Amino acid sequence: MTQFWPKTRSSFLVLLFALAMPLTAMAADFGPITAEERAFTSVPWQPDAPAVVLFEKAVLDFMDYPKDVSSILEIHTRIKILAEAGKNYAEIAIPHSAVLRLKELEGRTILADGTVVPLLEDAIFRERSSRAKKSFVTKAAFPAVEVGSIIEYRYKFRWDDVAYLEPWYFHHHIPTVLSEITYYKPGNMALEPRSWATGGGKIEVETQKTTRGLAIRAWMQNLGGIPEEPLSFPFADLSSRFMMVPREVAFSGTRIPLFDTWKSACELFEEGETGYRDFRRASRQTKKKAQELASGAASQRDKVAAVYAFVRDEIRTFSSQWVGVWGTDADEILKAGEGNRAQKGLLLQTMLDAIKAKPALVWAGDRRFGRVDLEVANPWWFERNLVMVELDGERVFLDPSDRSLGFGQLSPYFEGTQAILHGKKPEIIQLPSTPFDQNLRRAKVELAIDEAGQVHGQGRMTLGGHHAWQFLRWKDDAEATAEAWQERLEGFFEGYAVSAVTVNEALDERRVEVQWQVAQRAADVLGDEASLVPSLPLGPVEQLFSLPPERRLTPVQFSFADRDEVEMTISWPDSWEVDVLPTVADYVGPAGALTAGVEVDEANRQLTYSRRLDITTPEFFGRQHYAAIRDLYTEVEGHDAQSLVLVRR
Amino acid sequence: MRKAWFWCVASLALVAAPGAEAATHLKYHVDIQIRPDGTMDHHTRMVIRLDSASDLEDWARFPIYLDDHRSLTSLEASVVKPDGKQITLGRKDQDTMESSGSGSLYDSGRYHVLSFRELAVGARLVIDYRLEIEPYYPADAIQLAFDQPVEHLHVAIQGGGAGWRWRFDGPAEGFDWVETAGGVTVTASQVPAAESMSWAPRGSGAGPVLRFAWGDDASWNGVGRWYSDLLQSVPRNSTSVRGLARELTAGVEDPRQRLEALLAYVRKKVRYVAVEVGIGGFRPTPPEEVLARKWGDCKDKSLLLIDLLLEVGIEAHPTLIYAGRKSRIDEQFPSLQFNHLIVAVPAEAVSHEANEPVSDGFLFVDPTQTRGSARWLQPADQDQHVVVVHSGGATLARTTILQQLERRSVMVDVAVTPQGDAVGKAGLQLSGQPAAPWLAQIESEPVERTAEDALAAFGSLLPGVVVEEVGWSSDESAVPTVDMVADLTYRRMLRSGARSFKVPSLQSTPEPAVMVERQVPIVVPLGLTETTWRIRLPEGSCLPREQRLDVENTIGTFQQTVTVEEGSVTIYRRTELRQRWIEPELFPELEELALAEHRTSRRRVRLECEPEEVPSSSEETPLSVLG
Repeated sequence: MTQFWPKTRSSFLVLLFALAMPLTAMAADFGPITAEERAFTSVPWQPDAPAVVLFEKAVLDFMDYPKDVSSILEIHTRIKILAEAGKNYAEIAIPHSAVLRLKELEGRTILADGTVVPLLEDAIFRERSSRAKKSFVTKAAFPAVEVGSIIEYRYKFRWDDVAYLEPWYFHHHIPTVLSEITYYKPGNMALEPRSWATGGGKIEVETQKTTRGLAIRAWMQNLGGIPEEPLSFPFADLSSRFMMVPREVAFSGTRIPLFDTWKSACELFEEGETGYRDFRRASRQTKKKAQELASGAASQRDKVAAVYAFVRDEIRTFSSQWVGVWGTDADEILKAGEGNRAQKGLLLQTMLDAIKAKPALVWAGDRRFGRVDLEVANPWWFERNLVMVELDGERVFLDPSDRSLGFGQLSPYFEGTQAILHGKKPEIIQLPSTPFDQNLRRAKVELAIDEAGQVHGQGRMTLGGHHAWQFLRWKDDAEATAEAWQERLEGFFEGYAVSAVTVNEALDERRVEVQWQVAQRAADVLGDEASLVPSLPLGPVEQLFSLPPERRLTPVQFSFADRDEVEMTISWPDSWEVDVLPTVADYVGPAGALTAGVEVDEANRQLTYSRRLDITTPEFFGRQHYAAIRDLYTEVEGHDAQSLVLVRR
Repeated sequence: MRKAWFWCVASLALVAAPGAEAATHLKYHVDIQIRPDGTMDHHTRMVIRLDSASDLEDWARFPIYLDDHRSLTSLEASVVKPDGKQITLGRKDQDTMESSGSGSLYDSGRYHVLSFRELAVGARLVIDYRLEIEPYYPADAIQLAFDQPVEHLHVAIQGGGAGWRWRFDGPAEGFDWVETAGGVTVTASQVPAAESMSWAPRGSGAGPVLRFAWGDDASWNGVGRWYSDLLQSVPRNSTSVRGLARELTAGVEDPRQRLEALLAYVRKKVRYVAVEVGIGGFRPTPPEEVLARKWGDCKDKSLLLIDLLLEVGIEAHPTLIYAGRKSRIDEQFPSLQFNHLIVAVPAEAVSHEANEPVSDGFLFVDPTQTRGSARWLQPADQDQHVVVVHSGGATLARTTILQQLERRSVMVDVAVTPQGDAVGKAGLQLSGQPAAPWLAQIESEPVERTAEDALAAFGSLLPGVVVEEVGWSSDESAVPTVDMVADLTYRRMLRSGARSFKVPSLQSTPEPAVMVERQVPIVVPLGLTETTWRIRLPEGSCLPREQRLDVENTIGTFQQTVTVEEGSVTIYRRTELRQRWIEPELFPELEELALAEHRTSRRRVRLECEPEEVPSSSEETPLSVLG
């Protein structure tokens, strides 16, 4: 099934609600199928594509108040099925709501011989995602689809607002012959075009005066499909896109700034139904609570930390993907004991304000949804409200919506990104990053082989930085945490029983320490041979980038750069000897480094293996850099596949 | 076809929130009154104590499953805070959400969702609701395995009347029951949380479960008659369907070939789309409609195939089945436990060969498969009790096990250089279910993506080996197969001074530790795995000793051979699993196979020389020996 629109972030400014009108599936004039479209049997620039978007055309009529009461976006799509797998595109799902209303969905299948089979009402299904939120998904299954068929559909969205802040994405995961959008600009609105072309493509733009108003058309042709490659960037970064940014609108001679500057955007969020000011206004209990929390603390830092810990831990977090707050206030959130991420950020800001910490709200975007372009004052770029305070001359960023984050810490999805310091004079800032060597995993394993050939010993692992973040407050209590780590370690040490696991977590220091005992299971003792994987428990690493550089199409993105260090010490009895040792590794490349070696103390029948792997940057653009990370993984995989073997004499 | 497990879960009155392992059911009471008209009043009362911080998130939303035949008639819910204050849920704390089940485009299921506020550790959720259920079939089941511990459990069913029957399936320790006329009451205290275990059954067959039914016919015949009656209302034998059948088989006289032609059409030309609204979850769409729109679910495709076959003189029957590699029905309790519909053709009606899905007098075909011919039945349909529906009743049968067709084979053919690197070719041959996803990928993904995944597959099977230049071929004329070949370099396979080398191989048995102190059955994937390494050593090299290991028992076989011939060593390992559902009493046999497979895989191949052949130890000598 294909969800064709929208593709990533939802970006509709909600001002009014309306009832949804019933859908219709009337026959409609879709326009003729051209000879070229009929003849299409494969895409010249991507011959193995199972389907192709022949065209996707959109027309956006901005609301021209008071003449219009709604803005309308009409989308018309035509797709040809080129192979069996292309039939996956024969079902569609369109999310909509009482605010973003879906109208006039119509469709048809055109067979290879030209026969038209309409999409009937009984093949269109409306699913209510939430009665309370008045949200829906309308699904349709196209009839009679075969290889060589064309499916075609169109629909409209209506919403009662002037703004539309979602970019038009030209690309799909399959090739596209033509993708275009035409905006009709009302006379009372100032719009500014913005475009982002990727992969060397060119976005064509033309402007024309029409009876409907000024028409701005943007289009691209003959696009390849965006492949879904491992550890790639999000679709929003890989697709070319275009948008018209509503800078201001005039009503009855009054000019109202919209998303002209970050200043106007911030003001809109202070005043409108996304009402930060209203949120903070009802905050008597909130402020009282803040003062109560801070009363026991000595320093300002401790006060801030106490309030932060409360919001983070005592107010349950619900998922949300934007920075607006919906018709609620601080005291309501406090009383309910729960809020979404945006509400929690604002709650924290309100509470810190009550203890004179001078907090500033920060709008931050999650890199998993794409990079933000802060030349466009679009609050819908962002997913989270952080809070910034200055302590001891330093800016400290607080994220109260993640229980695994200590004071002043950010998750890797926000670190290093550009953000907006919200306020009367908004500021573009860069959020701090953790250096790669602080995202550390350090393991030390001490093993011994006994006379019977059984391997046993102990291990200790320290996680720091984002590696610790991944496991801080992993489970609810110490017992569950130890159990979970035991299971995890037994997954690494195949053939071994892990016991006596202890875990120490230090949230604010971003550190997790795990210790354990390990003993080879009786069934796995060979008696005359013991093979060990010396990179355990951090390895063995497998190659993640099998594709040769010339075939990889998209850049690589890790969650974060990091360092792994492992040391394994083994001792053996006199009746045993070393048979095979791993080779030394000393590789340094643009992507990082691998060093490994073994020191053998024959006299004491003991050896120590040590290995360090650094991946120094999380992003790799272009073939050369892809080759670099691939080469590093080749080295590591080859090295880690080696065994350390001892045998009975 | 509506998933039977879904129906069971719906009767559960508890849909466990993910990760909600720390909370405790202080009370879990279900009272079911079966009325004379066959409807049920289903009353659930629960008290859940929140024991940890994650419970506050996990239990913030509680869904009650509803459907066209399941409606909510009363509801009271509240939070009792640790200080004793009670907050009753109002309208604004409730929502209705429709969400199609996995595999469905759209269905009539929906959730009435309760949102609990002001939760704190130590708080209790009190939920009391009644459902009015009009079951499509006079039976139901209640899962008694929970993700959380239950302090007091009480399930009481009354009003079963004539034909009342029930059965407790699964581990019964800790449960008591008292049978009454037309009912049963099951109680338990301190029921521990169900343990999540690897290799364990899932869904149907993962107990314990209380099944119950009522009505006249407590037999699989009765189930068959129910379904047969349901089909009566479906218009059949349309002109378009009959015409198509004749068109597709024009000039084809052999019944088997006719079957293959019609099956291929239904599989390839009618895409799978599941829309299940109310009884539409069981009753197929008329074949004429399915043909016109060219989409349908398992029952739509099956009935279309049956009508096509009937037109060309081949008898065929709808067959109820629970499809799931890790699941099975309780064949001792005739009821509607199925989630899928396939087709059974009397074996004498069409020709067939050995290793085909023929058992109990029927050839079974699944029209929802997109790969292979009638020769291959996907593993989810194998080794399952099925109900073949025919006029006047039904036959309980069991589909066969075809492990020989489910194959994974790795072949490595290399020559070792004087420097100790092994260079050559690697091959991966897959057939049956292992091949099916690859065929789908080859058909739908760009070549680059398939190449990358193929290289990754080799890399995963042969860690540390550099694999390049992969190519593949595929065939799905009978059993889906994929053959991949790649160039291989195994660096430092036999380093200077080494007296042994590692030979990675495929494994299909669980680690022996999985069976230790285990009471839950183990479900293993049926099939055959083979690994062959052919290694040409440099002239003058020491060679390993020839050896052979054979293990065979009722579960399957394991074999390893090491043969030496003219400087080449061939290591061959083969595991065949013939039984997928392994009860604890057969664990010793599974362990025997697992030990053999895992130990040989871990053990390195040792080189041995005659004493007079020991070369001088030097850096120039690539291979040293055991003295």
